[in-house]
Amino acid sequence: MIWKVLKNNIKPAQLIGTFFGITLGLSILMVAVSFYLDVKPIFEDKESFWRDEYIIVNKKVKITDSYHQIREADKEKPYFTEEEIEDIKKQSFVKNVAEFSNCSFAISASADRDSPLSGFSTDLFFEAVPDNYVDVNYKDWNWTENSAYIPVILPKVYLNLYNFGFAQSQNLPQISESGASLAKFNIHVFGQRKHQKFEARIVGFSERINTILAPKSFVDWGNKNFGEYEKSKPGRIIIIAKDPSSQELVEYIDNHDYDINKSELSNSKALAFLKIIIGIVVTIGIIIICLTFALIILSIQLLLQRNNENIVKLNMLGYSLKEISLPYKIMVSILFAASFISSLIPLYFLRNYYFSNLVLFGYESTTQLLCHIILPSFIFIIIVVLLIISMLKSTIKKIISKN
Amino acid sequence: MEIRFSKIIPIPIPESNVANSEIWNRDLLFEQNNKYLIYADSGKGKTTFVNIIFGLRKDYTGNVYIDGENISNFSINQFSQLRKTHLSIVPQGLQLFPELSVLENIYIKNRIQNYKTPEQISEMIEKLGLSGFENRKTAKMSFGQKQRVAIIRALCQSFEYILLDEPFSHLDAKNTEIAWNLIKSEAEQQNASIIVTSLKQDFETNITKLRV
Repeated sequence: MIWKVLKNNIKPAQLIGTFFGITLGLSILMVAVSFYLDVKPIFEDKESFWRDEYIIVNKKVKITDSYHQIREADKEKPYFTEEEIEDIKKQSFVKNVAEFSNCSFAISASADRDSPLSGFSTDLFFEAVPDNYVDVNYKDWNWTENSAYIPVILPKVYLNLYNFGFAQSQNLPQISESGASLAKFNIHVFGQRKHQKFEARIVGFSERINTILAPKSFVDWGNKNFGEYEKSKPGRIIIIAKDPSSQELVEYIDNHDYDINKSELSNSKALAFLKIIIGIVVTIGIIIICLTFALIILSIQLLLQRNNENIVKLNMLGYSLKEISLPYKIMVSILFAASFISSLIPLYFLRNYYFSNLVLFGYESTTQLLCHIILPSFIFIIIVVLLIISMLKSTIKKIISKN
Repeated sequence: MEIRFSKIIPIPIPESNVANSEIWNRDLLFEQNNKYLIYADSGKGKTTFVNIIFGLRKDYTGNVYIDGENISNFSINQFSQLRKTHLSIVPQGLQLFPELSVLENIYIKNRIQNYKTPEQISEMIEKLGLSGFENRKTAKMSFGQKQRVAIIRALCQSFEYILLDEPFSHLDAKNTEIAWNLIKSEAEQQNASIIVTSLKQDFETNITKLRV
């Protein structure tokens, strides 16, 4: 019966409008937060190159069209000097720089007779980068002295080249990444009139580093024990860029006549853009939520002011503050509960939608919908409802005290 | 329960009204199981007096004590409690809910304590000639009818004092007598006091009369 008196001046259209406002705001906020949490690991994954942008830089190789030029070029090989590397380190867009280590000893690979690769034999080279720059997630990526086994990483393009170029044209079976990893082969290193045999296996394929990678510890050990000539200068370096989309970086690379893979930059531009878009979506969600709350608070204030007379009458009859505010508390709670439940529907469908796209890139999220999104949102809603209720009580108190 | 007035002067009341008053700027004690008539011409402050006791006005100097406690220190909830079970009122403006029916207006009070049974309420409605109007919205009733609804509503609670602010102003002599008797018998049953305001002083013999 109190509700009959207090519901005066509540228009169904106003309630429905408020319901949709809260639902919309909550949906946008929850979807944005869930999207942010879902894609955050892509930016932060320590095992991948996605956290910071890794850019491989080399000097442009000059065209050599005569014997004289070949001899000259030989003297001025496109190596980075220590000064040049120091200068790159000083740039504001650079977070860190690592050099590629070359082998100064001879390497050949061959397969045992009983191996599926029987008869295979080739000269080879290894390069190495510091372990934390490697984009293949392989837990045993290291080599210790006296270890007879060397893990090797090949560029992904080699596999593609074989599968889609060579194998197809020669009617040979295609090889998967995991299939390639099963094959063992022997590595022979020569130098300083010594020879040593190792066992090797391909442990992964790198999409970013276009070289045959061995653990840095192995390359360093080999150079020391088998190296035929003094340590060469690095021909390539890896830069960890703070903001790969910065114009400064592009200008620096151009001015120094360095070479980089431009597609890497566009990739990182897309990531930077994605970050901005998520930021905008979250901001819009928060703005809509804030506006909706402001609207709710104003609507409630207006409603209470319109019902001013009935509130005073009820208090005159002996109804306490608690009893008068209870129907409004129930109304606000039902409104928010209904909005919260309703906003789970767009959350579910939109999350499934963007996930179906993320899965195409082989991405799996570790974010749990219930623990990381629904529960915190629920706690957030409870806090908001409590705030509104306390505001409601204080307004009713003011109305009663004034009269 | 006793109500004590100590040198109360409502701020909006002119000085000339205070000088001849038996209420303002006096020390008064209202005791339980008594009847008081507060009479005066219009505009002297009868409603102000009722509203001060009921806690609806605070613009006065002096103090009002209920059972020795200064009511200016009462919280909203203390007043709610007082109005629920100790103080009943028929305000001059009646303060009914126009959107509610006669029965709803009565039950919105009665449900707080479930003080009267439906039969007792029906009996009072019948006595005051409101039978057949139970489901009519009070917005569509005359002031006299509304006054009777407000009287029944005021009797649907336990009280130690019932404050009646010109409760019979729009009632005929017969209905006034029925209503007055109903109030008196209810007050007697509850050992309660009646404080009634009126324009006239020839109200009843057995009553303490005070001029505002």
